[in-house]
Amino acid sequence: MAFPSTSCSVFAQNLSVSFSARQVINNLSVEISSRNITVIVGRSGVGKSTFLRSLNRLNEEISGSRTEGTVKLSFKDGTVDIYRDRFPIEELRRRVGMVFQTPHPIPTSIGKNLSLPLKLVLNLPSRKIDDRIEKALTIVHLWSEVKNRLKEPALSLSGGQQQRLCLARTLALEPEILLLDEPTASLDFKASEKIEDLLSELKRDYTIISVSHSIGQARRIADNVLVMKEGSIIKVLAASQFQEKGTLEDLLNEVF
Amino acid sequence: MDTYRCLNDTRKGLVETLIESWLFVAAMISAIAVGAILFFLIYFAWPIFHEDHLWKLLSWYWRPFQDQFGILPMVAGSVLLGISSMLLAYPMGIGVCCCVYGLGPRWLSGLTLMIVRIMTSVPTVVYGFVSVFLLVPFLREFFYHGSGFSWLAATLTLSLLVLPTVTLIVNAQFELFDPEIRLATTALGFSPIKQLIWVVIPASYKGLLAAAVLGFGRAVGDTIISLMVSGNSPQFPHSMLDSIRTLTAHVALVVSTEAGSMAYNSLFAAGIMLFGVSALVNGALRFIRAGSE
Ligand SMILES: Nc1ncnc2c1ncn2[C@@H]1O[C@H](COP(=O)(O)OP(=O)(O)OP(=O)(O)O)[C@@H](O)[C@H]1O
Ligand SMILES: [Mg+2]
Repeated sequence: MAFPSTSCSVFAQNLSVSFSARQVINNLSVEISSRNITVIVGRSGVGKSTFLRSLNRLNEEISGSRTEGTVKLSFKDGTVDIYRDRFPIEELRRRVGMVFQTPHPIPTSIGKNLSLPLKLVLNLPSRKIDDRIEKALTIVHLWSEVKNRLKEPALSLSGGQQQRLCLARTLALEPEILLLDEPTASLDFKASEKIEDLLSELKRDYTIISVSHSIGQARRIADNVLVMKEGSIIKVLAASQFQEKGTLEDLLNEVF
Repeated sequence: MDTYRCLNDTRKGLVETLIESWLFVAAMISAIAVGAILFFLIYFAWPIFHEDHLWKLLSWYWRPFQDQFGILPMVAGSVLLGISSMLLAYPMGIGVCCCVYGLGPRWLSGLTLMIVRIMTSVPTVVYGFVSVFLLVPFLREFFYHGSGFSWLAATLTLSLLVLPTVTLIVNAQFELFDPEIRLATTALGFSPIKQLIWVVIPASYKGLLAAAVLGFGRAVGDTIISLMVSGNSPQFPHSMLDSIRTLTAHVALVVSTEAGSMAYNSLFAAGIMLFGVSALVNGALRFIRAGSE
């Protein structure tokens, strides 16, 4: 099956995911365009995180999970049918970077949280690693806070700092598609604003799919909003449909 | 309603006090017992700290009928056997844990863990027995050297005994590792092996150290296997096919055969050394635990 259109970078068809026979994603089909921010909204437990995990085959790491259907991702050098093609899974996961709902730094130093993936996943020579670390921490606005404490344990950071660290860790690997599960959940509004600005910048190079519980945030950053209910996407809204304040709330109230 | 809650509270208080005092009594009894053992060991061994006696003990010759009571061969035997069996069991145990922890297929990991758990409940003497009838004759035929009762035979058997200790401690530590962090590193693109070597093992170093220390303690403290398969010659071994005698086996042998006072005295010296090893093991464990905080 050919990709529906060249501007589309994520294509899912009849996707179903279940955990121990309980169906969580239900015959979901969607097209997500590249170099855009797509925000997924929906009630708690509808399967937003599970859907994100189905795009980097991470549900397979959860015992009892079963995935059916088709997911195609288009990268710079071609399209991959991730559940059928024999594409190396580690490389797939590097290209589809994911930041979790709650930050999970590796229990080691702040610096190593960034240098280990660069060394082990990207095989970057050590002379290039320091530069890359500084760059990644700078774009998530964490560099000034941690530059003198890179040797300290990552767990000594605050929740919001850990979240930005995890975002930096993923960005440093230069993915092509970015999955963000509530990237600003534990940030204050100033820091959230900075991350929102960052995402709007990043969408020039990345396809960004972000889960958000904040309708305000969805309106500010989204090019498209996907509304999820009971494991399916029941509505797709384009930015032009909710530019006026209040319209997105009204649209969502109808379907929630 | 209030009276009920009140009543409930006092009852809970009573139970708690009972448990606390019971724990206190138990702790005191064990402390007193350990103290008493140490006291009697030192008390009975006191004569050997007499200068000429001490020199007799610190020699390489155990010939009780010629008035030579050196225990150095046994010290060497215990240390060598402890080290050699750990050199074998430790990497094997960690290998088993890595296999269980995601490197091997899932069915295999469950099976392996079950076998390891069963191994802990097999009486030590069974290992010795099987070894005497299978391993020792095999070594004798294979190497054409001596009787087969040797340092090598004891090492192989003892490492089987220590393997479950190492495996279960390391596995317990691996299982403490937050599965969400594993998922997060998987999402970054880490392969299972890289994840294990660079993320899980460094975070589990305390368990790895504890397994090494406890395993070594267990190997040095074991009596039956060294008694049954090491050959018990009080000598410094020149190859792994030579026979050795450990401190524990020495104590068992001398108690059951000799009655001379100097021979007995040497046993107390051996006892103090073994006590010292176990004190060191405990100290090391404390140190490892404290290292985290
Ligand atoms: N590891 C798992 N094992 C079993 N069931 C799971 C697992 N992860 C999620 N589920 C189930 O899948 C359903 C969807 O969960 P998911 O985490 O995708 O929801 P969500 O939309 O992200 O919710 P939230 O907004 O609260 O994060 C839930 O009913 C949940 O219980
Ligand atoms: Mg979620």
